[in-house]
Amino acid sequence: MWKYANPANFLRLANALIPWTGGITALLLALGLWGAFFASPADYQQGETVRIMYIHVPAAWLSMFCYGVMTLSALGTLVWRHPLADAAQKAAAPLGAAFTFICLVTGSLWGKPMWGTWWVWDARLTSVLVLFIIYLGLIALWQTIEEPSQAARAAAILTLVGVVNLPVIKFSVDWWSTLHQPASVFRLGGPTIHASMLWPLLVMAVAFTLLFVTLHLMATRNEILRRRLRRLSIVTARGETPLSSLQIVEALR
Amino acid sequence: MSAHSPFIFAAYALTFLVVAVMTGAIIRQYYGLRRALEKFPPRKGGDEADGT
Repeated sequence: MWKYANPANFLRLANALIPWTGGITALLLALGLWGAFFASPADYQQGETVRIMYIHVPAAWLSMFCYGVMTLSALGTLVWRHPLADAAQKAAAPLGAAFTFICLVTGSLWGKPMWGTWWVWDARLTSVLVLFIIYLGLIALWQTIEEPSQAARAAAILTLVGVVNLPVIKFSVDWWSTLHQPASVFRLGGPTIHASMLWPLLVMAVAFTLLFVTLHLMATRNEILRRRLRRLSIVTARGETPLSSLQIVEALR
Repeated sequence: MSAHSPFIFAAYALTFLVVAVMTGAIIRQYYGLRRALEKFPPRKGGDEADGT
């Protein structure tokens, strides 16, 4: 594992993996969407609106999974001071924010016809909104601090502070009386969803996870290249500068 | 076509849009960085020398 934690080895591994994970993601998304729209029945209470769940639930899982990846990366930054951990953490934050945004908006689009309201200040909804704000805060922190190693340490500390929100999200439906339904897949007594609805949900969950893996590999690769460009720009700025500052700023965007 | 179809359509359309924008931005960034790096002379040790 440590062998692949070298940035140069990671770039080679990422270049080899991305076409495969991307291809499998596309296939699984196609299968999952077919299952969600054509192979699974409408719910006896929710009707056709249940089809929103095939994207809402995987997005919700990914919003937390992504934060878990960031937490591990934060430990890598603070404990082992590994540069790849910094890059992985920075690359994951916008992806986590995007999945959390999808989760919140699709939940709202489901809530209006089912609950009669776009939003309630329910413990589950509010804790997921807090997660979204934490992601935005982390992205802002990376943008604000210019020195990558300082930004990585600050972001790692904020990530570890924010991890307390994950159990709150998970158990909010058990700890408080909420409008949001309790867990129906990962529970002690087994899933309460019928198999005809469960398999498309699980396929979509795996597809979303692979989508995250693919995008995270790509974004981490970008971050490594960005740091390489930054380092080369600083080194060459002392002698002959091959790039104009405008070109560097354009590439760093 | 149910009364709730617009909600279902909006949810899937928004998800597609967010994923497409995110993927497009990452790919665009990658090619921008590659173009910028090509303007630097190749390093003696190749990628192995990279200690980023």
